[in-house]
Amino acid sequence: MENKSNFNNDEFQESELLKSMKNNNVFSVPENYFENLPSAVSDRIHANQHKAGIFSGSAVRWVSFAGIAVIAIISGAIYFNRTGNEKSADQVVSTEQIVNSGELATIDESLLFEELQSRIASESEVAEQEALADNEHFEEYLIENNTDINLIITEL
Amino acid sequence: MTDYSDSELLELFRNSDNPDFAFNMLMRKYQQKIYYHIRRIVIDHDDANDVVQNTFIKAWKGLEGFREDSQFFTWLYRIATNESLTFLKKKRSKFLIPLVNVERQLSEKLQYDPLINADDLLLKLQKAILSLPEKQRLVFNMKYYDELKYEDMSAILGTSVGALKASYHHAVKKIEKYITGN
Repeated sequence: MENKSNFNNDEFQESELLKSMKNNNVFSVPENYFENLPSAVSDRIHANQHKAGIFSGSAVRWVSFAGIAVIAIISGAIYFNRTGNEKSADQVVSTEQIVNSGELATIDESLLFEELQSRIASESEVAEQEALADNEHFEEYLIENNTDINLIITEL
Repeated sequence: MTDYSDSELLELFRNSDNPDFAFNMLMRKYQQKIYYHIRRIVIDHDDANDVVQNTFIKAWKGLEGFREDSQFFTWLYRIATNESLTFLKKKRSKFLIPLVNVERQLSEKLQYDPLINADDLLLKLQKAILSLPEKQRLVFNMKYYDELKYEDMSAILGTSVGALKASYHHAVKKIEKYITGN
């Protein structure tokens, strides 16, 4: 009971021995420790803030977006460059295919006309030369066989 | 240095362009009390230095949300106590040593630490304090050295005033017995 009353009594006192030792601080600190402590803490706070600024959620998000954008741009550039080359290669092939398949809608008509004319001209030359060759051959035949040309004209 | 109250410094922290100034003032006001409170728990100066810095950094981070439902210094003591106990807990788990060995290790440190200046009697008192259960040790230090009111200790430790008084009473009796050898 005595102890219980002591527990609830703010006047509870330590022994004289304990009281005599109360003001003796056995723990010492390095020189100027308390002068430097606030600046040491402030430095750490600002270092953390700087780190937090660099690695904060919004900064990380922006860096992520920027990274994704750069990757997308590079990928896009590579893709379009590649498909562009493939497309022009395809275009060469398809032009050949068009030419080979006779689809001439995209070909200049004047070129076709010139080509046609030259072909006609060369064919008629050949025909003339052949005709000339035939005439020469015929005349040679008549001469070699002593045929009377007037008789042939009369019969014709 | 102008003496500002805690409320004025907190107001200055929240509403001025330079919260560093107000926080610096708060640190200077409480650094010694907080440091020695921590030092009595962890004993070693380097450990106390780490813990006190972590305490103030956490206070800085939490100060924006501090609503003054409790007094600033009891809030700061609570952070410091929690940080100190967490430190000891980590130390125990790190070295896989049981509770009693940490206290024995701290007790041995008392004898050889150049930053501890104690005669035989004061050394015996410190060893007696370290022999107490953790909660009793906290209560004894806060009452005997820091001379905190039971109401404030109750706010810091989350324990009823009656339980704190009983705890302190038992602690004193154990220490006196330890010192006198009776």
